[in-house]
Amino acid sequence: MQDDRTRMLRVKAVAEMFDVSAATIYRAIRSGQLDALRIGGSVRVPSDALKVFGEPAFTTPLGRTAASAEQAEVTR
Amino acid sequence: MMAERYLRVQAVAELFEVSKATIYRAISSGRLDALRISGAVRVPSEALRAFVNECGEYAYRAYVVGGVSPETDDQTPRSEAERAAIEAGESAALSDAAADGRACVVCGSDFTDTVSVPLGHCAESGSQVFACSTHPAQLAAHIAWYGLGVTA
Repeated sequence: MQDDRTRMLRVKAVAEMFDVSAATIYRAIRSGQLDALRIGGSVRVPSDALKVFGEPAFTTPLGRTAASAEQAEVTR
Repeated sequence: MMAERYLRVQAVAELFEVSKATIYRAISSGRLDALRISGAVRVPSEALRAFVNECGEYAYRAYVVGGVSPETDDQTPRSEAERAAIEAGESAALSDAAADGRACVVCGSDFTDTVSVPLGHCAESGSQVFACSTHPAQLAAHIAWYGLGVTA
């Protein structure tokens, strides 16, 4: 549940926060991993959606290591 | 229980990092509830929560289900009129004439003296629907998709 401290962030700001490209953030939105808002055709990300974004690297499925998971992400 | 707060349009616009015009449009179209207090417009925080949820649903329908590219959507420069047309397409069904393929899905004009482009078929009536060729193609596709579940 959002409260009064919730901020609506631009994708560029979210990308800078996680030190990834904007394309990575847009991909996460499209896949449903990251909740977003559409307002007048613009995209905003509520800051409380970031709390549940990303998965702990040590619980990567199928026993992959964090390093191999990151490698797979890069080559995708 | 959190006390209800009342925000100025300027404050809401800053919160969303959008123009005040976008917020005023949301209020006048009834998507965002607001109060008029002796001429001053204020948005109750409870109404803001409902609006955020609605914008979240639009995003899900467009980007996750609808196949609209969030990157293209976010980075396309648009006039306020084009933004208004997108919002209208999100919240309202098309007119019967547009659904039957007799009028433009964007502006509603009939096709007696304009060139039209086909957008696909309406999921309900099965009719081919069209837009004037003068409108941006992506905008017309958005409106058709929201209004009718049109598939190309």
